[in-house]
Amino acid sequence: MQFEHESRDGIDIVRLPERLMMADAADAKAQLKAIVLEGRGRLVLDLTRTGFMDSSGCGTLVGSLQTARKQGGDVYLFGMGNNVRALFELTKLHTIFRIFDDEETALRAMH
Amino acid sequence: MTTSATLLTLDSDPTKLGDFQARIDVLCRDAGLDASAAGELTTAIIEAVTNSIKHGYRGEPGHPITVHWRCARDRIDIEIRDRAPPPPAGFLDRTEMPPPAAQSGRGMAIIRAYTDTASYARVGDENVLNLTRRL
Repeated sequence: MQFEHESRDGIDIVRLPERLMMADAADAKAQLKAIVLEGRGRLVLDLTRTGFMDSSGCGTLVGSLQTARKQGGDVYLFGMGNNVRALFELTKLHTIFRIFDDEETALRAMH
Repeated sequence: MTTSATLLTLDSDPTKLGDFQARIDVLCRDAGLDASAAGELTTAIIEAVTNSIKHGYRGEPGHPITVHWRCARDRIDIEIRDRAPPPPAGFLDRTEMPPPAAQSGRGMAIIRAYTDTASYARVGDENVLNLTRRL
């Protein structure tokens, strides 16, 4: 699974897939880590296509956040659907991630 | 609402979980669960099956997992069986969610949050996890 990735004004934007689950977790972590380390540590993740995420997916995102913050950067999320948002609230991940409704708002906040 | 039952079998291959998730989601919606409840129950089942694959079978493909789905008038019963070694004692009691910064360890807490009951038994050489969700 290769993530769609673009850079815009020093910010890395990654489009996450329909599902973020165990099978993809290790590869996803590695890809996001590489993107963060090769960039400036400013990562915006697009979850508009992500209809399903489990705890493995949560771990992947937390890992990317920790890598980014060690670089002095951050990871912002946008486009979260209801089920993923409910999981974030159950797991309290919404307390450590900044979550936005749309891409432009997330990018403006990251600048 | 009539009672219905479905038996699903899958291999312990993690790459099969995506299709399995889609199948469970359809079953949930056909049972009358709304999108939110369907998402919760699907997640609980996926977490349980992932535990079988990851911890029971150590991520190794080629081992059987069966999921018996029964929809009654007022609830859904899910029985998940595998032939992996038994889990550690008390694993079902891990209901506390790890801190947000944890990179793992959320699976059981999610299962318990998204189901009404969870029970485990070792039957012969099988692990049998039973979950229920009220309709």
